[in-house]
Amino acid sequence: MKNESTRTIRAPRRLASAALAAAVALAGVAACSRSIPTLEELTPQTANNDDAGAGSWKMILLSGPTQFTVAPPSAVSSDAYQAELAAIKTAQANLTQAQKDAIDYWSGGAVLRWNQILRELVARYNLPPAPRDDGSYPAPDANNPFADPAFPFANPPYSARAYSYVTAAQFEALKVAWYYKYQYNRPSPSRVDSGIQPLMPTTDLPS
Amino acid sequence: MPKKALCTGFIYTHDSWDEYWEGTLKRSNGNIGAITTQSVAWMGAYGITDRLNAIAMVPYLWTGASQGVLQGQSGVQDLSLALKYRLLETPFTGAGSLRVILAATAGTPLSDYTPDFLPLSIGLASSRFSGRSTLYFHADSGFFVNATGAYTWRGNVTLDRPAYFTDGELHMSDEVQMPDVFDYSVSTGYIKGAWQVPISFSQQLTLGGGDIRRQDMPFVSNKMNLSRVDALVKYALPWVRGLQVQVAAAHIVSGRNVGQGTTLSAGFLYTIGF
Repeated sequence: MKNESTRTIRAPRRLASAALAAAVALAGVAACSRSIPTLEELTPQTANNDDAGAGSWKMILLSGPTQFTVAPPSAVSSDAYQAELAAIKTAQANLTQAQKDAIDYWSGGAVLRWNQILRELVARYNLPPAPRDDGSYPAPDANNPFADPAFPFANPPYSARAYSYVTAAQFEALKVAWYYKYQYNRPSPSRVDSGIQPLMPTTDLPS
Repeated sequence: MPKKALCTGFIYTHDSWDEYWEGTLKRSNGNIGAITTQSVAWMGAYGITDRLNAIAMVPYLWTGASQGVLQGQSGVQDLSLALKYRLLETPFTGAGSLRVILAATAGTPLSDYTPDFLPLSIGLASSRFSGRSTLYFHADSGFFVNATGAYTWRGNVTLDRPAYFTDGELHMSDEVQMPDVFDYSVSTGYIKGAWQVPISFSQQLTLGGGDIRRQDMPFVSNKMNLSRVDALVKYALPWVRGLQVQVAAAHIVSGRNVGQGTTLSAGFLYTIGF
C-alpha cells in the first residue's frame, strides 16, 4: 500500500504487457477452436475401373438383372431426348448453392455416403433403454417409434443386419444398373452435347 | 500478495455424488453407484509486484465408481497459470475500501488422459483461456462482499475415435469443438486477523453443447451447467509464522449434465517472503 502513487504511474505499462500476454494466449485458443463440420469432406471419387461386365455378376437377392425392366431410352435425334438435354443445361445454369453442395457431397462416393448415413442412424438409436422406477426395462414399440426407448434398437446384431440390408441392396442395384447401361449403351449427356459440363469426375460409363 | 512473497501449499479435495442430471432429468444410476473424485493440488502464488501476482496450480486426480464395471482413472490433470492484477484500490463510503481486480488464466493438460470416459475421466483435456474481473468491497470492520465473473474460451479436444454423436448429429471427425463457458460468483464473509471466513454462491453456464441423451454417457462438450454454494474457513496458525490452514465445503444445488457433487477439502498454505 505504501508508495501507491509511484506505482500507479508505472501501472499502465504493466497492464499493457499483461494484456499482450493475454492476447497471445487468446490467439492460441482461438486458432484451435475451429468448428467441426458434421459432414466429412471428401475429395471427388474417381473410378479406376468401369467394371463393364458388372451386369453379369452373380445376384444375391434378385433372380437376375431383368427382374426389373427399364424401358429403352428415346433416340438421340428425338425431340424428347433433345428436350432432356436442354433441361439439363437449364438446370446447370441455375444451380443453387444447396444443389452445388449436394453435388460435392455425393461426389465423395454414393456407397460411402450411404454407409455414413447408416452410421448416423446407428449412433442415434444405439442406446439401451433406461430402467423404470420399479427396476424393469421397457421395450421399443413399433407402433409408437418415438417414445422412450426409441424404436428400433441399434445394438450390434441389429446394426449389422441393417448394414447388410443396405449394402446388399446397393450391390444388387449396381448390377441391374450396369446391365441396362451396357445394354442400351447411351453415352452420358456431356459426351452427346458439349454444352453440358460434367460436374463430377467423368468416366466412360454409358448414361 | 506483497512483492517478492511466495505462497505455496497443497490442498486435498474429496468430491462425491450419486445423483446427476441427465439433461434436465435428475436421476441415479445403478451402473455407476456413487462417483468419487479425489485430488491433491499443488498451488503457488508469487508477488511480482504488490499489484501483480502470478499463480500456478497443478492437481493430481483419481476417480472411482462404487458399482458396475467402469474403471476409475488417475493422473496429473491440467496446469493452470494465472496473472492477477489489482487495477484499483480506493477508499469507499468512509467505512471501507473498494478493489477492482483483473485476472487472466491459461490452462492446458499436462498428461495424455482421455476426456472420452466421463464421468470417470479426470478432466476435459481442453486448453483454455479465461478473463476474469472482480469487484471487492472490504469494510474496516472485517466484513466483505465480492462479485466476480469470468469468460472462458476453450480449445478443441481430440478423441481416440474417428466419429462421435452429440447434440443430435454424427460428426465424422475425432475433433470436438468445445463451447465457451461463463461463470460468476458472489461471496460475503469476514476477514480479520488470523481468520478468513467467506461463503459464496456461484454459477457456471456452458454457452452451447448438447444434453446427455436418455441412458447415455456424458460427452465432453455437453452443456454442463451448475449452481453451487461454497463455504471456506482459513486460519493463520499463531505459532508458525506464515502458515495458513483451510477447510472448505461445497454443494451443487442445481445443475444440468453434471453430478450433484458434495465437495470437502482441506489444505495448508505457507508464505515465504524474499
